[in-house]
Amino acid sequence: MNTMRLRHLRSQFRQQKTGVAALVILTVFVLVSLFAFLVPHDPNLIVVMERLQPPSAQHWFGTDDYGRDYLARALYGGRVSLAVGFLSMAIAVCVGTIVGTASGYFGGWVDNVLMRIVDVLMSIPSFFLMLILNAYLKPGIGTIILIIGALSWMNIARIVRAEAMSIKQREYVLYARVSGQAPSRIIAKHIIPNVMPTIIVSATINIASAILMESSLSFLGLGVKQPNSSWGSMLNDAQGFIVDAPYMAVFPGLFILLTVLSFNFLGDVFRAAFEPKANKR
Amino acid sequence: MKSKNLLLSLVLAATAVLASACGGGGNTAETTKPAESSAAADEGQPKDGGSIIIAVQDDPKVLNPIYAGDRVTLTIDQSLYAPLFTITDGKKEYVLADSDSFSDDHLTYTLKLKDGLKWHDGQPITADDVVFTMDSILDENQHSSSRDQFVLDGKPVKVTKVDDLTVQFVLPEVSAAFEGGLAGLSPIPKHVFEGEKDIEKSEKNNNPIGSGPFKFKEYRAGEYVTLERFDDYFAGKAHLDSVTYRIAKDPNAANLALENGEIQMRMVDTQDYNRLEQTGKFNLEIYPEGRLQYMVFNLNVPSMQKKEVRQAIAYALDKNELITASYSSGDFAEPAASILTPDTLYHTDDVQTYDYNAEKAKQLLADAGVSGLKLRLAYTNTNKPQTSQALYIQQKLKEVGIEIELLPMDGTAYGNKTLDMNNKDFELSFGGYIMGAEPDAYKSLFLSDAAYNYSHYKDADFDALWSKGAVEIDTAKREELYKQIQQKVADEMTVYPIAYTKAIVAIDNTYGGVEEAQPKPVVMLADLSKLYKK
Amino acid sequence: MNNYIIRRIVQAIPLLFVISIVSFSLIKLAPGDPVLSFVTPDMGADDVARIRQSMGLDQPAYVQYFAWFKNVLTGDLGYSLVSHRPVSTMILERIPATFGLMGASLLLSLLFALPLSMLAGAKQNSIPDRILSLLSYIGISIPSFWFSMMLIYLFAVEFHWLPSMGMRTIGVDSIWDILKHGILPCTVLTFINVSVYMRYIRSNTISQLEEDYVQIQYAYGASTGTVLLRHVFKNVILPVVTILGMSLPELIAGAFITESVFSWPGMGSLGITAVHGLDYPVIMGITMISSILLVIGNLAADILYGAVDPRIKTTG
Repeated sequence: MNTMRLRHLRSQFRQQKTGVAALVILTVFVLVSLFAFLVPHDPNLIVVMERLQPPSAQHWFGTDDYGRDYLARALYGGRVSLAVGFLSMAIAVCVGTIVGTASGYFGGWVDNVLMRIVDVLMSIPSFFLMLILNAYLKPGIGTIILIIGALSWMNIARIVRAEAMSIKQREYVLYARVSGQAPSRIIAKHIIPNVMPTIIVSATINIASAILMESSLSFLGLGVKQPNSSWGSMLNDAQGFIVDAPYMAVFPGLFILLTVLSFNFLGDVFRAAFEPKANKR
Repeated sequence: MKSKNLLLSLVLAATAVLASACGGGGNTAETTKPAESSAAADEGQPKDGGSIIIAVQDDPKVLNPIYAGDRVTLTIDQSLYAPLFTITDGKKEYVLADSDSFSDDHLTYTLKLKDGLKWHDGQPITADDVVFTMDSILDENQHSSSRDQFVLDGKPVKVTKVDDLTVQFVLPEVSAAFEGGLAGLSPIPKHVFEGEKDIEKSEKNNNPIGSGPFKFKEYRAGEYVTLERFDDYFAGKAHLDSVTYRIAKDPNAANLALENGEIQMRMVDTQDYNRLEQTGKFNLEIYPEGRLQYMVFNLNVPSMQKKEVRQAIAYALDKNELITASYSSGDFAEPAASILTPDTLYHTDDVQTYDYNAEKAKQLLADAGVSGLKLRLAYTNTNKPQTSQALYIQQKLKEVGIEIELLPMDGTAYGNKTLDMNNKDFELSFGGYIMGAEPDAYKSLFLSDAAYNYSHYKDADFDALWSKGAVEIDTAKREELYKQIQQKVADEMTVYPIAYTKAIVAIDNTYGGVEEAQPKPVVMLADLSKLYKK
Repeated sequence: MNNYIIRRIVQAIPLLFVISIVSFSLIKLAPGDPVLSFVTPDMGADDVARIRQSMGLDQPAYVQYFAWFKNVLTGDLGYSLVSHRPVSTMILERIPATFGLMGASLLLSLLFALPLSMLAGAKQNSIPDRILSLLSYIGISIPSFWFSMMLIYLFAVEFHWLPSMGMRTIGVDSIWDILKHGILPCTVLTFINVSVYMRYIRSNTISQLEEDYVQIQYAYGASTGTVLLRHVFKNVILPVVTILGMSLPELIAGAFITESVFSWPGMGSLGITAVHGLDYPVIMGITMISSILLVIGNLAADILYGAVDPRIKTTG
């Protein structure tokens, strides 16, 4: 099964050039943010006399309103944004999938309890949860990841549940049940592989929304703590200079766009490759 | 969002206006005829008619001056209600009041109202209204936040009507600060509120009856408040037909709306100044806010109890650079040395200053036997200048071997922590206050047991200076007392004054009469009735 | 079916109760004291105590909760701690703006998303599909506040076509004027919504088209249009129904960023102010209304599920 999927994945990448481009872009972003220390500027060094300088040979991306090198900040910011996007997605997908499949497959009181918990969490407005959670937890990147993860698994759970409910009525699942297979085995062999396309699509959207939600947190003043930066917080800070220094909004905006686009392209490639129906052909 | 959460400074700012001299809705009563002043000379006579849209950050709270405490409500009340009198730069200007006088023993104060004053609904303004207002403030069940200003030594001031236009105040003890507390107080109409169980929650506040140059027309939640000209205003009709306060939540979007002409007046940030000036479309008024921005040392933490360490930190910072980093340029903030703002009575620059000297800072630290100091600096996370200052201070103190951990906090959490008398969670924090012209008002920030004594510096002699200052009637002696106070704080370095900040108000330059309307801290313009459409 | 609906409604009552307790506890456990936003340096300690008492904040949290709860049962949502106005009035004032904006954008989103994305799914990898996919990628990749600012900058500041903020021109009171103010915020919300829906509908359309039953239909000579409308539509609408059900509470507070940027006088901006001031009567009011909408949304979604997909029995 696994080798087959890998083969499909490889053939998908051969077919879809955008997928390759996405991989390249993401690899580049990951590498440059990992090797951000090679930039000869301290991302946090304030130089009062060099405020808001447009891009130049010395400062490739210009400087921000504190005179800090914008390239260095963008690269270090990339670390934060990518980490936030990926880790909070991981939290959300794990929790969401477990809750969703359990709820959809077992039904009955399990479903009832789990879905009521989801209902309670989802009916409290998200900005309220954000602000309150933020007040409890010590500000920091870990907190942001936790908050975003905690706020986004419910969507996945509900969608996965809906799929699982539908899949469990299918003939092959009914057959597996009648033939006395253990629920855990049925979930692992039949339910999860079948909800995979949905999970992957959800996960790509989730990574995108996690990076975006991080910028929303910045908008609410709860983002990454200064002097650190993330693309979201940089973008938010740039709003005040949209006329004076448009480059400040362009760079982080472009990075967010490219990263999220890439994750989505990748998601499509995965979906095409993992889709059970595609395997049959 | 940015400035919304300056909880502390706003609260302080708010108080100041209530508490002290900078009130004054239509303080033009007896001044020279403004229409003939300079602006009129080159632009002809001010025309009547037209309207203006002013941006405010949030919905107003209760539109009743005895409760107003936030920037937006104070701004709107400024046009809606007229005060009894104002004190600006030590000069008293009568508004609703005609005259006032103290008895020789300074225990009885008599205030006379002008004749023929009218509320917006046409009823006369009389001594009854003033007495009713004072009674409401003093009534504990009405929980007005101004109450304490009129309770001296635990006893309330007694207010009685002498005749229709005369009110007598009997003070339980001599108070030099009483007049300052009364300045800016706007009466509320007795015939409207009489018999209301809870004035603060009264439906009548939804349709306020005021005494200022503009009367209430309409409020749409989340959208705007519109006021229209009050034709019977005693100091002459306003030029504009109406004034609208538009609620604009997002400062960046509000700036674009300003440039776009959808808003004609707004308080802007220093970072917006250059751009707005380049458009050539705005009259940009820069004026002192009467506000001190400072950093405070928390003496609850043992490492901050050594005076040398505090002084070393002061020497390690370059105040001019600090100001440039946070306010773009020295044009928008004046370096501060004293805890009293320049507009306060008895302000002096004759205090110890700490010019940047890294060597001296290191020396002081070495003398104190301190090394490898690690400090925490707390501030409000949505406050841009504070963030800038924090970043600068972190970088600068590294040079003298002090490591700073930044603690940006949510506004509410920050306010909570700073008010905790036993707080040891951070050594350094920022604050800002507008306390007005009366120096006595500042004592709530410095007395040993005051809730707002953020430094937690406790010294009986120092407290005594404040108490003496409050009751000293001889001006020269009083001046000397406040000078000692300012020198003491500068020497002890419990509070590091950063700057006396300035406000910038951008007004579309199709409007005239800005100078006559008097730019004013917190509320933008003191007297909108003087503004006119060119 | 009727029994099912009644049972779900009965189930919703304890749910609402739990939501109210959870929200209330969250507010009360949060560090911070609402009284502090009233405290000013010239107030003495007894002034503070008096204000605390007058707002009932000197009582233990559970006493405050039950006082609140008792009032709610009689239809009284209490007074805001900050503005001292009745919470029900404050919320009612905001409902038209929020419902108008969110309702319009939800409706438009569906009208655009359903046909466009089924088309895109059916004509996978065609040029229209690629263009639509790219647009939807951009839609889900763009930070909404940034997108809003760009639109304001372009359409209000540069071209002067549309107003940048608010819901009305001062002094003008016409539907046309409100619509004009609504265009930009509605565009932002719709663009983002369509993009999200499209991802689900398109990928679902594709996988449905690969299902055996569709292949059989094709074998019997059915046209693509017939297959899409008759068979695929029913199945792709499932995830949309779930998303829609979940979107209902967003009617109340979901668009807080867009509302803030455009100064739209809706519930979101009211909520943010309330959370900052720990103004629990207002927060609770908004939360309860959004919860009731969620219950309705979920119920409607589940019923629709039953109607759309007969394989799911509405007994669970």
